Amino acid sequence: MDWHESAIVINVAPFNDSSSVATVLTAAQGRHRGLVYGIHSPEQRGVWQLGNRIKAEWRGRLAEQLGVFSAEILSPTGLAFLDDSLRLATIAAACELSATSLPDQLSQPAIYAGFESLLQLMAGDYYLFAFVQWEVELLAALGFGLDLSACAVSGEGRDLAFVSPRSGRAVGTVAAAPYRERLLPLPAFLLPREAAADPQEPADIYAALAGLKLSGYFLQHRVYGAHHQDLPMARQILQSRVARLCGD
Amino acid sequence: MRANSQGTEIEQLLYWLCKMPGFGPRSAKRIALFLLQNRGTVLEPLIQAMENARAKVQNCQACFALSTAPICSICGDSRRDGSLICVVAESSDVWSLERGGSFKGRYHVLGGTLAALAGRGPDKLTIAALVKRIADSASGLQPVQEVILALSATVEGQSTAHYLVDCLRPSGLLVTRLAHGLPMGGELDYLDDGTLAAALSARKPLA
Repeated sequence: MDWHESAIVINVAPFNDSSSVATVLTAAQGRHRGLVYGIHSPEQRGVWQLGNRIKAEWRGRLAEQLGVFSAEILSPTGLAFLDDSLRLATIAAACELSATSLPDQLSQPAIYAGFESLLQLMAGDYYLFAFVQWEVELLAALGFGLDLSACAVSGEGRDLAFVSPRSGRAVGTVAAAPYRERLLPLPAFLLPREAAADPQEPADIYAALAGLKLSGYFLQHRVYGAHHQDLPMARQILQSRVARLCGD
Repeated sequence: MRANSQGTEIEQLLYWLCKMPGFGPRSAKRIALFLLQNRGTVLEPLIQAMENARAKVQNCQACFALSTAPICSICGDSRRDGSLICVVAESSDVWSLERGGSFKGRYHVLGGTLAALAGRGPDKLTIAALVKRIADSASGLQPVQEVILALSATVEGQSTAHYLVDCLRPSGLLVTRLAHGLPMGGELDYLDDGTLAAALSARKPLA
């Protein structure tokens, strides 16, 4: 069997002197691994870089086999931001999260589309918000979706400002007052459009940090903590870098 | 390796030769045959050289490059510029830079680049030793003034470079990195999009 599809390179691990095992994320195949021959050749080495969008072709006799990848590059997103520490950390974090949390060979159209749109937004100012939104989608895809549509206490869809760390549901400002210290701040850019007070308002780096802390909390406790693991290193580096920018 | 009529010793030799980078079963057989046919001239000197290397080669205590002495010849050379430290991933990168002969400072070998999925976190690299080395140099004769990050132009390499910048920020040192872009003698037609984009963004005025 074989398939060819647009993909994002999310991990490359050495196999032997001239070959590596690459992991890509696609919409229909989900996270998929395969062997890449001659990865150090001048034609191949620029292709198999983390975060690059490629046209991947996988060939194997059975779906269970490792199989062999060949690819051509669609856009060298991973290499385009080598000088930008925050953008590079964002790409590395998204790659590492995909590579460590998603199941193998399970279709992930929403996660792939979110990752692709994140890469398209990397050149703009809102990439950190796109990243946090993608992490919330990732949580949902893994079965730990947050309910940010209405207040868990009052049921109202307005004035939502916190998230319960226990239930993952939004809480309104008034209902949150007695428990404020124990709740996670909910940045406005994560709210559904109809619930946000001013959906056009640009969110700042502080809101991005609040978003990273929120999604990071649930990723740590629901996804990685269940396997007694920490958040991926690249994700931790990204959050600490944003925190430093905020003086946190 | 499949058992055959060659005998256990030859099979073992082939097995271990196959472990060498770039050697497959066929090349291992060729090398084994050559070694056994030239025992006195190649095999025994090779065994001696490997034994010497096993006994004497270690990591330099200052820069962590491979060396036959506790302090390598580069770190021990007083003519080298101690105010410049070039940070590389592996000892082989030191050899590459020394081959060119254009760098007259000293080195620091990290022992790889950050790669969480390969189990290489900051604690597996010699980052803490680099920070300490720089701090210790401040009270010495030749304090470090510039750190050059000579790491691969890959996402992993540059992620490590940015992490090092974060670690070195409190020291207030000048931290630079090697340029990315056109190779010498490179033709535009043969370059990938990423290299071209990097070369364009790092362009500099000629006049």
